[in-house]
Parts: sequence; C-alpha cells; structure tokens
Amino acid sequence: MIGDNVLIFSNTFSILIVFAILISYFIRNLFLSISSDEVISDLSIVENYIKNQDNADFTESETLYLGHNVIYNVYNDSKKTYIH
Amino acid sequence: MTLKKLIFTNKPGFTSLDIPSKSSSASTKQHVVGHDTVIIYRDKNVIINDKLYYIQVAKKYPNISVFGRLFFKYFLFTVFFGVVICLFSGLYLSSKVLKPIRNISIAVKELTSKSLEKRIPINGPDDELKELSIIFNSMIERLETDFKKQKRFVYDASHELRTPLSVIYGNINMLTRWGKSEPEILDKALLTLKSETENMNELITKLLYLAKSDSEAIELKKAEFTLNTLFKEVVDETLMVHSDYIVTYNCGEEDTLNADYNSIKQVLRIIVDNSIKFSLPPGYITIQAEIKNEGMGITVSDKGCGIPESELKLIFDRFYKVDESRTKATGGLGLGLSIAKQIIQNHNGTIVAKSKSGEGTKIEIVLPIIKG
Repeated sequence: MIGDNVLIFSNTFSILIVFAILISYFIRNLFLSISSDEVISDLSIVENYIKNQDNADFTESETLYLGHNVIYNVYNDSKKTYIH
Repeated sequence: MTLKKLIFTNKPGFTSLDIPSKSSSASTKQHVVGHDTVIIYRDKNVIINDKLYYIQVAKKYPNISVFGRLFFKYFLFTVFFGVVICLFSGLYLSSKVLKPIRNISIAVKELTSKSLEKRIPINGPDDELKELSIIFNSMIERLETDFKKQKRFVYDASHELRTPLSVIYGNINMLTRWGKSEPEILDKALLTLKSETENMNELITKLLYLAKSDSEAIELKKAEFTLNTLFKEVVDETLMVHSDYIVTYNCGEEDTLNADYNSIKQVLRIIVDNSIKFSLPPGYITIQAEIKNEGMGITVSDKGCGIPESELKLIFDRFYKVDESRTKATGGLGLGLSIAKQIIQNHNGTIVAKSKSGEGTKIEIVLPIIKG
C-alpha cells in the first residue's frame, strides 16, 4: 500500500515536471511573439520617421525616442542610388 | 550593393549587431548576449527618394533567462509541496472516508449463521455510507428473522414427526410384548397405527409441498374457470362432511379467474376447514367474490371465535397455532394457512386476515385478473 502511494507520488511528480517544461516553453514562445510584434511596430515608426525627413542628412535630426531598451540603426549607400 | 554608412542611430555606441549585407527574410531574429540578455531584432530595406536605406531595430531584454529559470524553480517547488500536501491530506481524508466501509467489512467478517445479532454502528453524517449501513443492518435483521423462522420450522417439524413416531413405537412395543394375543387390544393398536401413519403421511406431504414451493418447483396449471363452479364444489364438499354448518357463497355468474383450479380450491378448502374448526355450528361461513381495482377479490368469512389482533400476522407462519390446546382438540398441524399463502403468492396474489376475538374472522384474497 505504501509502495503504491510512492509510485503514484513519483508518477504524478514526473508528469508535473513535464508540464513545467511545456509551460516554460509555451511562455517563452508567447514572450517571443509579443516581442516580435513590438519590434515590428518600432521598425515602422523608424521607417515613417525617415520618410518624413526632408533630406538624407540626419546629423541635425533629433533622436527618436522609442524606449530605454530599444536600439535602432539606419544605414545608407552613399555611392549608389536604388532604381526601381 | 553595399550598405556601409551609419546615418542615424539612437545609441551610437551600440552598433555591434550582426548586420547582414542584404536582408533576405522579413523574420524577427533573436540574439543572446551573455547569460541573461536576449536581443530581439528585425531589419528592413526601405527606398526613399530613390535611395536605399537599411533600418535595423532591436529590443533588449535583460534578465530574461533568470525569469525562465526562476519560473521553473518556483513551479517545481510549489508543485512538489502541493503534491506532498495533497498526498498526506488524501491519505487522511481517505482513511476518514473509508472508516464506515472498514466498519462494514469488520461487521461482515464477524457475521456467521450463529452470530446474526451483530450490527454496524450507525453514526456520522447523513451520507450514502450511513444509508448503506442502515440498509445492511435491515438486511441482517431480515436474515436473522428468516434464520430464526427456519430453526423454528426444523424444530417444529421434528417435534411433529416425533409425536406420531412415539405413538407408533409405543404401540409396536406393546404388541410385541403382550398385546398381540388379545384381539381387542390388537385391533385398537392397529387402528392407532393406521391413524398415526396417516397423520405422518399428511404432515410429510404438506412439508414436501412447502419445500417444493420454496424452491419454485411447483408448476401451476393455469386455466380460465368460473368462480361459481369452484365455490359450488367447495361448498358441496364441505356440507357433505359438515352438514350442521351453514356455508354459502355469493358471486356473479360471469366472474372468472385464470389460475390453477385445484390450487385455488385447496386454498378455499384450507380456509373453510379452519373456519369450521374454530366456529360452533351453524358457523355462517360465506365465500364471496368481488372485482376490485387490484384484481379479483375472494373473501371467506365466518362468525367463529376469531383471532387475537396481535397474532394475525403470525397465522401464516409454518406450524403456528393460535391456541395450542384448542388445536390439539380440533386437529391440525399449523401448516394449512402457510400452504394457502404460498399458493396465493405463486399466483402473484395477496392474502390477509382480519379478525376480532369473539366476532369472527375474514380472510381476504386478491388474485390478478389475467385474460386468456
């Protein structure tokens, strides 16, 4: 009888560990999905900001603030222009 | 096409991201820095005024791995203690819940045919287990009653058989020693032997009938017959033997019954014989039929000495005699009404007795009406 209880306990615990791993994995994926949406949103803000600039010289432009943990870099090709 | 010049940034010092020469997919990427920091980033080529720009946006999540590890640790910790608490509380609860069942099993173990007086203690809340204990106790009570009845039956049967056997044995002894030489004593002894043998034969026939009936080995030969015919036959046969009594019957010409004719006739004979035994002439015995909601009702009533109310329930028990001394005088084994009840039950009917001491007795039978 005690052996049965120990067996039930260990089985239940093993199942719960598997559940913990699955839940952790699910939460991680959920977090990545939410973060991805936020980054996409920030990217479009930066894109719109650049489009609204009169010229390509950003040296005088004000820094666009998107949050303390957001970093953005904009590069261009100074030699070639892109033709459709 | 080469992108090489950083023209706009919010964090000039932070340019260490892995920048591909050309963005090949529009997917979000992640980059782990150190142990705990994750950077989620995405890039895009944009054409503005025929110039190609490359935009890269990243979001930094410090301590993200710490969060995952903490979550996992606390989850396991909580689950472990949760399981331990559940285990112990489950053991405690199950032992409490199963206690009545243990009591039942102990009581069942202690029950034998000689210790049927044991009962399960009824306590605790009004739940299914308490109900089960009550039902179990009532079942044991019924068993105890039946065992007692069976014991009494065996005792009475042995007693009833021993009496004629003693008489037979005594007479044979007497004849062996001296009686056979005297014709008068020999004749008397032979008559006694015959009478006692007949008594034993009757007793054994009745016991066999009851035993067969108990084991449901009796086959009823059901057929439709008119009650008028049955009643007339019973009354005629009774009056042939007891002409000093007034026995009448009353039923409709068309009243019929689908039953075993001989069995029902036997029941009526038993009841009428009992009425005659316990009534002084003329007795005024009446057999009456009446259609009731439950079926066909047959009532046999007399104006005899009646039965005390306290004994009415017992008169259908085997070997039960209301007044032992009076029964000895009138004859009878105390099996007639048991056989009558058995026959009526075999027909899915009911039989009840109503009586008042000194006023007479009424036996009411109800039999189901079956067409065909």
